[in-house]
Amino acid sequence: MATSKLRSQLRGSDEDLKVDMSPMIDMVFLLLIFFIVTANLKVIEMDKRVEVPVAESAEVQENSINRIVVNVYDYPANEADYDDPTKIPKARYSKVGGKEDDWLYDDAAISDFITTTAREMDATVTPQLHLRGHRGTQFKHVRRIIGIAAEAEVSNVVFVSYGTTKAYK
Amino acid sequence: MARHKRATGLEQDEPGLEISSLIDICFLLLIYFLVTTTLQRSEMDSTMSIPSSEPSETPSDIKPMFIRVAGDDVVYTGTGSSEQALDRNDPSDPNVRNVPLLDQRVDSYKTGFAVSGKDPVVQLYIEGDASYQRTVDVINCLRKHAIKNVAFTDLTNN
Repeated sequence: MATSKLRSQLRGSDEDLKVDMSPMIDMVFLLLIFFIVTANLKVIEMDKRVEVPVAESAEVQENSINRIVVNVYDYPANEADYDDPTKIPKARYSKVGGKEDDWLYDDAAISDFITTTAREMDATVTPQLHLRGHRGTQFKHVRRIIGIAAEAEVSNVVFVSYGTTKAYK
Repeated sequence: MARHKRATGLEQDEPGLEISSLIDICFLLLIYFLVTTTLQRSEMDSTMSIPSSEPSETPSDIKPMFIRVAGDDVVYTGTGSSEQALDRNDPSDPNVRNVPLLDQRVDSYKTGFAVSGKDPVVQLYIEGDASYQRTVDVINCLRKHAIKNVAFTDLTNN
């Protein structure tokens, strides 16, 4: 008799203990929508060994179809540092990923890469040189790429940068 | 009688909607966006149209603005004897990237062109030893004034 009474009491309290999930779901949806809206999808793969400069007047990247990506590294002066390719680049220049086959060792390789990539593009788009230069490198190394691109008739240059100094704080 | 009561209790439970899988997916997406938005700051574009380094056959009647960035990152304007040093780098703080004097010059140059209706012409000569960040500072200043067409006077490495 006592147990049945206890059971009925417990059954009653069961209903009271139900957690109201709706505010939590509201919050989760709100946060989810916030992050979906604020997330900027990366257009071009970023090699972290290149610290791009800062320019406040820069625009958000939109399309990636007409870009010829060249990374310009801050190449080490000390030859002993060349061994670790994960931290230190193998050459001063590379194609988009900076992986094993992407290194551009000389002018001929750079010229060949730019010309071939521009030729492979759809005829309706204008090729652009997507220049990811390290902020600390000397301009002569960047100028070399712009010069080679100009010879290959690629005259639109995208100087890739961060839009705010917060990137380095 | 008791059996009948138990059966009705079960029927009352059935219409409840199972939302736990929905919450799982929401959390998963939430965590994904949390992680991807904080790890990498997205890169941006400063697009410039740089005409071919070959000289044009028909010389333009527009007087171009000359900007030179020296190897020590000092920005100059003008040519020859009329050349003036504008903005210097502060050696004590490498993060100071402002070019306020150049900004004023470009602004007044641009205002002059607004009357004539022609596009301003800017020629950049950046010495090889100048830092890339300083070059982008100058380009940033030009873009601020909607100048997206510059000529580099020398693209060869001598």
